[in-house]
Amino acid sequence: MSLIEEFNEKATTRGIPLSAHLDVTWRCNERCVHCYLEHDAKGEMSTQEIKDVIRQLADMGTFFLSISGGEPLLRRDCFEILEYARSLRFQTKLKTNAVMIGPKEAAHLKKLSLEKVQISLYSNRPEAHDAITKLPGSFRRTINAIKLLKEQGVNVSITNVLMQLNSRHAKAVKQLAQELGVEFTIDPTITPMINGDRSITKLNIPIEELYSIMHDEDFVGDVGEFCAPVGTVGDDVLDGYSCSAGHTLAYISPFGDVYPCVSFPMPCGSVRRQSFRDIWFDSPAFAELRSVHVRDLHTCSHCSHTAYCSRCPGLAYMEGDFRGPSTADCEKSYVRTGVPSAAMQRAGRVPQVFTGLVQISGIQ
Amino acid sequence: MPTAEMYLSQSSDIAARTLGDDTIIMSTLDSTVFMLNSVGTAIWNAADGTTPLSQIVHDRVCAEFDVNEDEAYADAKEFAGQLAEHGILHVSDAPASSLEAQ
Repeated sequence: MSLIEEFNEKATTRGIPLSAHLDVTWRCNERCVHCYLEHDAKGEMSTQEIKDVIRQLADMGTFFLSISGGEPLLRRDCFEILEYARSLRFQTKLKTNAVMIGPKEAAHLKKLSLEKVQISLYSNRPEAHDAITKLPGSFRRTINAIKLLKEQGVNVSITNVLMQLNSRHAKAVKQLAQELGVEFTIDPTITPMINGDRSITKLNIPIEELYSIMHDEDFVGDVGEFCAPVGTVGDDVLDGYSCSAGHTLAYISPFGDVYPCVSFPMPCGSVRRQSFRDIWFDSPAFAELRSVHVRDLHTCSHCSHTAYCSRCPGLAYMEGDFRGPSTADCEKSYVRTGVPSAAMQRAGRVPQVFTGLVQISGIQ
Repeated sequence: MPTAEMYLSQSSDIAARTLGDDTIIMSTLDSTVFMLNSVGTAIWNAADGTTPLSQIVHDRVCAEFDVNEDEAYADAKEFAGQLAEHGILHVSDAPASSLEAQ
């Protein structure tokens, strides 16, 4: 067990929100076609309110803090917020599109000793990236910012959200990341909007393409290991939880609303009405979430993918039942292994992506 | 006991949090992670750049834990050296205020 895992276990045992994701604004200078936020929402927390939330998180033992948005640098006080977070010794990550980062901002970010600056990049082709962000010139500005940050010695990572518009560029983006000397990750899931609107999920890549990505060593490493089904599940898995949301992770919106995760918009309280501590320990929503173990999941507990599925309870919640399966994760487990999930079998809907291969079914 | 004093100060290039008696420290320069036990946490929390290590050992370690002061001081020096190698702690032979005045 690594030291981080050991610390995480201590946090879980003590009920500490070890990680927090704080969106300081939902406003943005880009209009990405797949974005799950409402950019015109009003009533953001003030500088003082945000600092107060950050202090409360520090008092509760939160160690990992992601400052995000919207575009966080649209707030004039963004650097003040980051400085305050670092003064309280958070391991701090900034998620940004980077178009507002010039030499001065890059130097300032270096001085803050952030864990990393995580930047969204959708293509290696300027026209394709700009078509997704709807901001002309955004590719050029983002790439310039990455170079400036690297010159300063700031740790940078590129996140490439895959959708039908850009998935064929994924390898080239990875190559570009290597040339720039930065980390690279892909995210193959478009999540519904935080207000429940699912229309943007039509941008998701087709399952055949998901199959190709999940069987490509450039993206998953050892394909044999990544795609191997695991049949047996022990009590340690069944007594555990699907993910850290609401257990050691919390999300706080720019308006002070608290949720288990940014992808799990189940209202748990507002820091404008209660302390974060009271919400974390006393919210009925958090209590309900924490009462559900893997063995309590009506479909997934009997699924052959239980041991390794990336099941997102937030996506399941947005499908109507956080105790139920998430279609996107069923598809991922299926294309990885060729074994249909329990939910797919129950619904009698198994996508045909394994043409010509022996298909296994009915392992329960 | 020391022939020359040592002064410890925490680097600004770290993230740290204490849960109970344990402290996790992560270098933002190279992502190295350290976990300090209760004695390490006591020394870490007292590393203000102005308190001599001998005093930290006397006041924070020997007063709280059942240890021999000379052995505790030797262990604390080794501990400080290890953290200093990774840039987690700064070690100086003068208090921080004196350094700032130079």
